[in-house]
Amino acid sequence: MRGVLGDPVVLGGRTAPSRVLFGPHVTHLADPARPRALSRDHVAHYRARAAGGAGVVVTEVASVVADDHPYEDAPLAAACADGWRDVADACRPYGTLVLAGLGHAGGQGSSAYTRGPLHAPSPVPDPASGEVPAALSADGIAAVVDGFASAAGAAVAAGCDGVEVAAGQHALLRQFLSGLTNHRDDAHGADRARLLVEVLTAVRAAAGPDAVVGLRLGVDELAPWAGITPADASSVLARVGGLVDLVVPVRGSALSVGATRPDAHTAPGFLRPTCRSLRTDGVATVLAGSVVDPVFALDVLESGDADLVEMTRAQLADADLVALVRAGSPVRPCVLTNQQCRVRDVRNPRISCTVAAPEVPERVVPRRVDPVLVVGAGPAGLEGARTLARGGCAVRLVERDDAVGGLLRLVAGLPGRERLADLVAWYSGELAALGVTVALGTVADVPADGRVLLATGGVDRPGRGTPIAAALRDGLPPGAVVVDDPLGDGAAVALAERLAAEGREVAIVAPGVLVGPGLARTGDLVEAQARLARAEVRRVTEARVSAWSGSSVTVADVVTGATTTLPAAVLVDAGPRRALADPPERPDLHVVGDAVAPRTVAEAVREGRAAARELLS
Amino acid sequence: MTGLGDPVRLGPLAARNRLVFPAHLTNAAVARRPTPQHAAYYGARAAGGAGLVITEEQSVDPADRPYEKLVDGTDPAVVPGYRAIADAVHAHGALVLAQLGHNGGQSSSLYSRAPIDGVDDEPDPMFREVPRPLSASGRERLVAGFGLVAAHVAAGGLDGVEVQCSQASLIRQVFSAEARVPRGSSAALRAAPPEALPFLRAVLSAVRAAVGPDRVVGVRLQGDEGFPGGLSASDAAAVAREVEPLVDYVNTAVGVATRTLPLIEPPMGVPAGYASHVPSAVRAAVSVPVIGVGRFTTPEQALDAVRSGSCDLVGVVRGQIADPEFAGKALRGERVRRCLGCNQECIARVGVNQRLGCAVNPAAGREGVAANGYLAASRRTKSPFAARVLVVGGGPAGLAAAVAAARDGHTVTLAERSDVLGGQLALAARAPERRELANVVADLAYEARAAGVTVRLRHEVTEVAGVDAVVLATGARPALPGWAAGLARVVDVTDVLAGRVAPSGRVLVVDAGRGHAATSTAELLARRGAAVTTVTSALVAAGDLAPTLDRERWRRRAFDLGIAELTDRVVLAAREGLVLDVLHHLTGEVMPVETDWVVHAGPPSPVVPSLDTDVPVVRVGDCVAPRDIDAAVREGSAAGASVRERTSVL
Repeated sequence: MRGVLGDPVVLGGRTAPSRVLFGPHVTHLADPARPRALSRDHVAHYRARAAGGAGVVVTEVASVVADDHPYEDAPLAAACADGWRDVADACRPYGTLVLAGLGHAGGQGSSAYTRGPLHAPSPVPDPASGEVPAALSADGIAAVVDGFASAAGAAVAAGCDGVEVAAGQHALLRQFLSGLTNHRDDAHGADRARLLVEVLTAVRAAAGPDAVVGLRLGVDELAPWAGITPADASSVLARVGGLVDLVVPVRGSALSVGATRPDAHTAPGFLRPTCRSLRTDGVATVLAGSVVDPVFALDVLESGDADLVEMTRAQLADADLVALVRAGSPVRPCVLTNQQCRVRDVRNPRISCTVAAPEVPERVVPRRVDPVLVVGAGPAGLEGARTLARGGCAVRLVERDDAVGGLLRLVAGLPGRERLADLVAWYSGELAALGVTVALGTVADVPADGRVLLATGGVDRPGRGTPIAAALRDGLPPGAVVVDDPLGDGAAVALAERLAAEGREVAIVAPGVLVGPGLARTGDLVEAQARLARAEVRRVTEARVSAWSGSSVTVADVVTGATTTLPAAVLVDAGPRRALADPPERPDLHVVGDAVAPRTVAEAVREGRAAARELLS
Repeated sequence: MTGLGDPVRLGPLAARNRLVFPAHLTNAAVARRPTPQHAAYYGARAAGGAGLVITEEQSVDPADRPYEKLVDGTDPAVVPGYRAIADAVHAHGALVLAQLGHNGGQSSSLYSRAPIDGVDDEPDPMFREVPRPLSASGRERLVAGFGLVAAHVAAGGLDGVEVQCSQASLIRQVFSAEARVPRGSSAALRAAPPEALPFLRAVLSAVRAAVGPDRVVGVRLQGDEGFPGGLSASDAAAVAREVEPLVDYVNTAVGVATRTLPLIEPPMGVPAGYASHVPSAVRAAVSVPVIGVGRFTTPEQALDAVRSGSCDLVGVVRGQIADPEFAGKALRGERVRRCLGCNQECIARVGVNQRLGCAVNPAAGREGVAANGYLAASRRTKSPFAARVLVVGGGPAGLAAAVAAARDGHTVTLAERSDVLGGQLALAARAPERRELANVVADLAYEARAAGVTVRLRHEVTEVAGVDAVVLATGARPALPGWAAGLARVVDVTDVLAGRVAPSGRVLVVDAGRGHAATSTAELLARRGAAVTTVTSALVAAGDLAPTLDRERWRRRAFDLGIAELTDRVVLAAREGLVLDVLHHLTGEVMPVETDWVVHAGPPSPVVPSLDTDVPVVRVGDCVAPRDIDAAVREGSAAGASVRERTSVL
C-alpha cells in the first residue's frame, strides 16, 4: 500500500500529484538587494521538493500589508508576483500545486523595520518581544481584508494554484480568534471569528472558484483558560468550511511558539487525534506536526485520519522523499533536532538541515578509480563514504570502534536525541547497498600516499572532571552530579535530564543567564527549563565552577563573585572537545568534521560531503 | 592649552580639529558592501564638524563573518562604496579612514559554514565555537588580506586605514594569549602562541605598502581587557612604543566585545572618562597623536579629556550619533542634544542584526533615507505658511513634535496637564542610575523654548479652538492587573517614583514588563531599607537590561542591596494580608507569598482624549501604543515636521 503517500489527491478543482505537503517556513533565502521578494534560491528550494514528488508546495508566508514586517527579509505580497510566477513555473512540470502563503504576523511581528507600532486585535504585549501593539482600527481591519484579497488575486494571476491563509502560529488572524489576544469590545471582539470569515470570503472572491484556498488554522493554543481549543476550532471550521479546500490544523500560541514545530522531545504526529476530530466534509484535512516518518505518514493516510500529510522538515532532510517512497527506497531521516531549519532568527541564517548537506549533483563520473580510504565512521566519515561510493568510487571505511556512528551513537542515548540512531541506521543501509567495505574494530594506518578522508573526530580535552563524552561512553560513578556547561549547546541539559531520571541529585552550572542557551535555536529553550525544573535539576546560572573537592563543587557568580557550594561526587565537564593534533598535510588527504574543530553533526555531514566531492573531482 | 578646535597632524595629513567619530558597527551594509547609507551617515558627522571619521570595520577575510552585515573589504566591489564615503566626508572638510580587522575566534560559522580561525582552540565566551588554530601560512594569508583591503581603501579615495588590534580582533587575541601564557611555561597545555608583535608589524607594513606614504596608517590598541590576566593599559603602551615607527597615530580601547562589552559601550550611569587611563599610558609612551575614548557625551567632557592631557584627540561615538552636529556645536560652545547612554537603539539593535538607531535622534541610521521627516525639517526651507499648532502633552513625544513644528516656522503651543515636562520619562529619571533620562527632557525643552514654543504647564486641554492642527501626545496611564483590585498596598511603580506612596518592609516588585521600571524601582526601595524581591513570569528577570549592557551593573548593585529575584512566576491572585498566590509555571506549583507591599511594573494603557475638532489631529507616542523613548521622539518629530502637509489643504 505504499502508493497512498504518492497517490494523487483532488483539492478544489485541481489535482496534487501526491498527498505530501511542503509547508510554509522562514528561509532567509532572499536576495539582500530585494529582501522582501522571492529569490532564485527560493525558486530552487521549492523546485527541488516538487521534483522530489511533493504534492503541494506552500511558499514562505508573505505579508499582505506593508506595515507588517515580522523579520528583515519577510516576503511582502506586493513584491512577490514575479517570485510566485517563477516558483509556479518551476514546479509546474512536476504537477505540484503551488499555493502562495499569505499572512500578517500582527502582535508577533517586529517594529524594527517599519519603526511604527505593531498592530494586533488588542494591546496585549507579545511574550517574545514584550512590545505593546496598537489595537487595529476599523480602517486597519479593512486594509487587512483588502490586503489578503489583493494578494490572493495577484498570486493566482501569477500562476499559483491558489493560496494558503495563515491563521496558525505568528498570525494576526489567530490572534483575532483567541481570547488570549482579542479583548475587543466591537463586532470583531463579540465574534472573534468574524475577521477570518471576512478574509476568507474576500480571498475566495479574489482567487476565483477554481483556485485552491487553504487555511492554516491554530486549533489548540495549549492555553485552555483563554486560548483557542479544538472545540473552538471545530466551530470555526464549520463556518468557513465552504470557503476553503484544505485546512492544516496547527497548535501553539505566542506563549508556546516552540510547540508548533517542536523538536524530538515531542512525539511525532501529536496532532493526529485532533486532526481526525476536525475532519470536515468537502475540506481536505492535512496532518501537520513533526510528521517525518513515511511509514507513520502512510498509516495516517490509510486510517483516514487525514487526507494529506505535511512533511516539511522531512523534505528538507530529503527533497526526494515522495519519489524514494514510491520507489521503495529508504529516505534520509529527519532527526528533528531543529538546529538548522528553524531559522526565524534575527541573525537571518539561511535555512539548512542537520543531516542533509546542500543538494549537489550526484553520480558524477569519477576521474580516478583508485580506492579511497575513509578513516572514522562518525557522521563526517559516513557521509563522505556514501558520497564517494555514489560517485562511483571504491571506498574502504575503517572504524576503530565495533560499530559505526561515532559520537552519534553516544548522543543518541540522550533524551530527545534518540532519532540520531535512525541516521546511523540509514547510513549503514546506504553503505551496504553501495558495497562499501567497512572494517570495524580496526585502527587505520594512514598511508603516505593515496586518497584519504580523515574523519577521526575529536578527543576529550583534559580539564576538571569527567569529559561529557567519557560520561556518555563509560557511565559515571554513583552520587550527586554537577554538570559544568560553558557551551550551552544542549548536550549538558540532556545529560542532566538523564541523570536526574536515574534518581540522582543534579545541578547544571552555566555562565549565561540560562542553561542551554543554544536551545533557543531549536525551539526547546523554554521547554527544557521546564523539564529541568520538574526533574528538580538545579540550574545555577551566571556562574562558573571555581573548585571541586571530590565531594562538592564551589561555583562563583560571574558578576558578583559570590560563591555557592553544591554536593558533587562527580563533576562532568561539558566543555569543548579538542581537534586532531597536527593532522598530516598532503593534497589528496582531507580532514573533516570534529577532527578539524569539534562542532555539530551538521558541520560533519557538510564537510564529509564537500571533501568527498573534491576527491571525486 | 590644547583646544578641541586645534588642528592636529596625523602623519602626512592634518585633521582640522580634535573630534573623532570612531569606528562602530551600523549594520548598514547590504550584501557585505558599503551602501549610500554609510556615506550619508559619515557625511552627516563630517557636516556636523567632526575632524576625523573612522568607518566601521572592514574585514580582511571573506570567511570572517561573525555578524551578517560585516563588510567584506576583500571584494573589489567595495571600492565604489568607499568612493562615495570619501566624497561625502571630504565634501565637509573632514578626514576619513577605514578600519580594517579580522575577528579571529570571536566569530561564528553561521554564515561562512566554515571553521572559524582562532589563536588556539579555546571557544570565545559569547560565540562558543571551537576555533581552528590559525597556522603560520594562515597568518600570512591574513597579512595579505590587510594589504588588499588597504589597497581598496586607497583606490576608493579614503585618507587611510586604522588597523584594529582591540575589541574584536585576531591580532589582539594573539597578544592576549601571549600575555596569559608566558612563553615556555604552559606549552604542553596549548599550542605555542604565535608571535604577536611580528604579526602586527607585518600587518602594519602591508597596509602602509598598500596605501603609500601620502595616507594615514593608524592602529587601535587594546588597553584594559577587563578581566583578570587580560591585557592592561601598560601592555597597550608597550605595544605602541614598538609599533610607533609604523603608524601615524594610536587609537585606544578598553573591553573585549565578546566578553566585557559593557566596558566598550558603557550604559547610563558610567562616568565620562572612565577609560582615560589607557590613552594616558599610551600618550606617555609615544609621541604620535593618541585618541582617547570613554563615554564623552557633552562638549565639556570632550574638552576636558583633551585639556587634561589624557589624549590628543577625543573619540565620541554615541554623542555624535545623538547629535550629528556635536563637533561643530562643541567648537562653537553651543548646547547639544545629549546621548543618554540608554543603549536601546544603538547597541541593543545592532546586537540583534538591526540597523543602528538612536533614542533621541530619529534620523540616526537613516540619514540616507530620502523621505526622512526629521532630517527634512532641519534642512529644508521653512514652511511657506505658519500654522497654529496645539501639542497636547509635554512628554518626549509632545516636546519633539513641538520642536519640529516650531523649527518649521509654525506657531506652537504645548499644553501639559501636570506642573512638569517629561511625562513618564521625568518619573523614570527619579530612580537610581536613571537620572540621565531627564537629559532628553531638558534638551528638548531647551530646544522648544529656543524655537519659540509657548509652553503651558498645568493646562488641561478640554476644547480645541483657534488652531490649525493638533498633535496628541497624551501618553499612557498605569494599568494595574485585575488581581490588584481593592488592595491599597498594591501600587504601580509610578506611584512610588512620584512619591505618592512609600512602601517599606517586605516589598514584592512584580515585573510584568522587561525594562528598567521594575529593577530601578526595586533599587530605589532597597536603598531606602525595604526588603525587596522582584518577581517575573519570564525566564530571566529584566530581560531588556542585557541588550543595553545594563545587566551586569544592575546585578552587582542588586547583590549589594540584597535584592532577591524570582523568575518563572505568575501572580494569580492576591488578598489582604498581603498574600499572593504565585504560580511557578514551569512546574505548575502554586505557593503563597506573604508581603507588606506589592509594586507593579507593567505596560500602561494609552490615554486618548476625545477632542471635538475639525482640524487635523495626529496621535504620537504612547497614546498610540505604549513604547520606548525612541518611538515617542521619532513619531513626535515626524508629526511636527509634517504639519505643513497636514494643513496645506486649508
